[in-house]
Amino acid sequence: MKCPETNIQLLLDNEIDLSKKQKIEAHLAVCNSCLTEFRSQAVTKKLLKQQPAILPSNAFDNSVLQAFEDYQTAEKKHNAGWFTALFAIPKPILVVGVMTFLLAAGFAFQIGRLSVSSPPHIDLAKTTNETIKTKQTTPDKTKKQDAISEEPEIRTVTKYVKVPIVREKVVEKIIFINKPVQKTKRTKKIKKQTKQPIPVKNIAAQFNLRDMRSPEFLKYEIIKQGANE
Amino acid sequence: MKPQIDKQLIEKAINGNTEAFGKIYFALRGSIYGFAYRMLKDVSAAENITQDAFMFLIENPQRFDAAKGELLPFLCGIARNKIIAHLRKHGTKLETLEDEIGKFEALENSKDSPLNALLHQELTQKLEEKIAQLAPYQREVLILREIEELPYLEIAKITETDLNQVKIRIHRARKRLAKKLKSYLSESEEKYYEVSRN
Repeated sequence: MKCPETNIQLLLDNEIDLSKKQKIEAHLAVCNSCLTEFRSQAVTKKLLKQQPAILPSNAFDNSVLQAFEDYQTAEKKHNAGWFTALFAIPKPILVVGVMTFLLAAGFAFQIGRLSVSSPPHIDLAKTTNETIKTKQTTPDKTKKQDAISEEPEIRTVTKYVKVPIVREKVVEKIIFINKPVQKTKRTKKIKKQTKQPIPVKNIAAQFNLRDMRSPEFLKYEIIKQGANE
Repeated sequence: MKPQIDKQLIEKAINGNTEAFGKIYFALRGSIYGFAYRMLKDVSAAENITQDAFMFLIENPQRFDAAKGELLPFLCGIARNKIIAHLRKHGTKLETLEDEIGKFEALENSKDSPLNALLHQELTQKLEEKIAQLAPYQREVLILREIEELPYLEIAKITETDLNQVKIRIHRARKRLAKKLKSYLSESEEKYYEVSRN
C-alpha cells in the first residue's frame, strides 16, 4: 500500500469511513515512517486542542452590550413613525411650521392656476416631426364645427414618450388653430403616395407630360408637386 | 464541543432582546475573538472585528439563514472577511507588552505547580508563535479546525474554498507546525504532556 499522507490527517480528525480507517490502521502497523508522522501530528493536534481560550476584557464585553442597546434605542426611534415624531416637536414650532406649509401650498396652487389659464404655445409641426406616438381622443361631432371656426381650441392629448426603459405618460394641453385631425390624415396620405413608385405611363396621363425624360427626373417632379400640395 | 445556539434565541436577539443577545455573545465571543486575535496578533483589531461581527448579525438579520448552517461559522465568515481586509491594510503585528504582562499574571494565579505551569506556558507561547508563523491561509484553517473544532465542510464554507483544498491546507499546516515544534517536543516531553493532560 502506498503511504497515504493526507489519510493520516483524516484518521486524526475522524473524517473517514470505517473501511478506509481499517486500511490505514493496518498500514500504520507495518510502516514506521507513517507511524512517526501520525504520532507527531497527533501530539501537535493535542497541544492545539489544549491551547487556552483567548477572551476579550470585561470592559470590552460591556462596550459590545452597550453598543447593542444603543443600536436598539436608535432603531426604536427610527421606527416610531412620522406621526409620533410630529408630536415630539414643540408646539410653537409645530404651529409655525403648519402655517408656513399652508401658505406655501396656497401660493403654489395660485401659480398653478395662472399657468393653466395661459398655456405655452406649442408648434404643431414640431410635435408631428418628433418620434413620439400620439393618442388622440376621437372628436365629437359638435366639436367638429368649433374646430372649423377660427377660434383656438384647447384639447387634451395623451402622449407616450419613448424612454429607454420606462414609458412615461405625459399629458399636455395643445392649441389647435385649424382642423388638426384632417391635416394629419392628409399629410400621411401624401407620404404613402410618395413611397410607392408610380408607373411612367400613368404619370404621363395624369400630368399630360409630353416630354418623357428619365424616370428619376419624373419621380423627383412628382415628389415636388406632392410636397407643394 | 462548541455551544449550540437555539434559533429562537437568535430571533429574540435580532428583535432587540438584550438578554438573548448577551447569551449568544458570551457563548461565542471567545471563538470569534480568539480567531481574530490569533490571526492578527492585535488586541484592538481583534476587539473591533468581534464587535463588528456581532453587530453585523443584528444590523443585517436577513443575511443569516439558520437553514444553511450554524451561527458560529456565519460569524467566523464575517470575521474572516474583516481579518483579510485588515491584513491587506496593515499586515501582521507582534504581540504587545500588555499581553506579556497578562501572561505573567496568569502564571502567578495558576493552580498547577509553578514549574509545570511555567513549562506549559512556555510551550503554549511557543505554539502560538509557531501558529503565527504559518501562512495566513494555513493558519486560518488550522485555527478553525483545531481550536474552534469546526467540521471540514463548515471551514470550506467560511474560507470559500472546496473541501479538498481545506483538507490539503489543514494537512500542510499541521505538518509544518509539527516540524517547527519538533525541537521543543522531545520524546520525554511528548510523554509528559500525554500523561499530565490525560
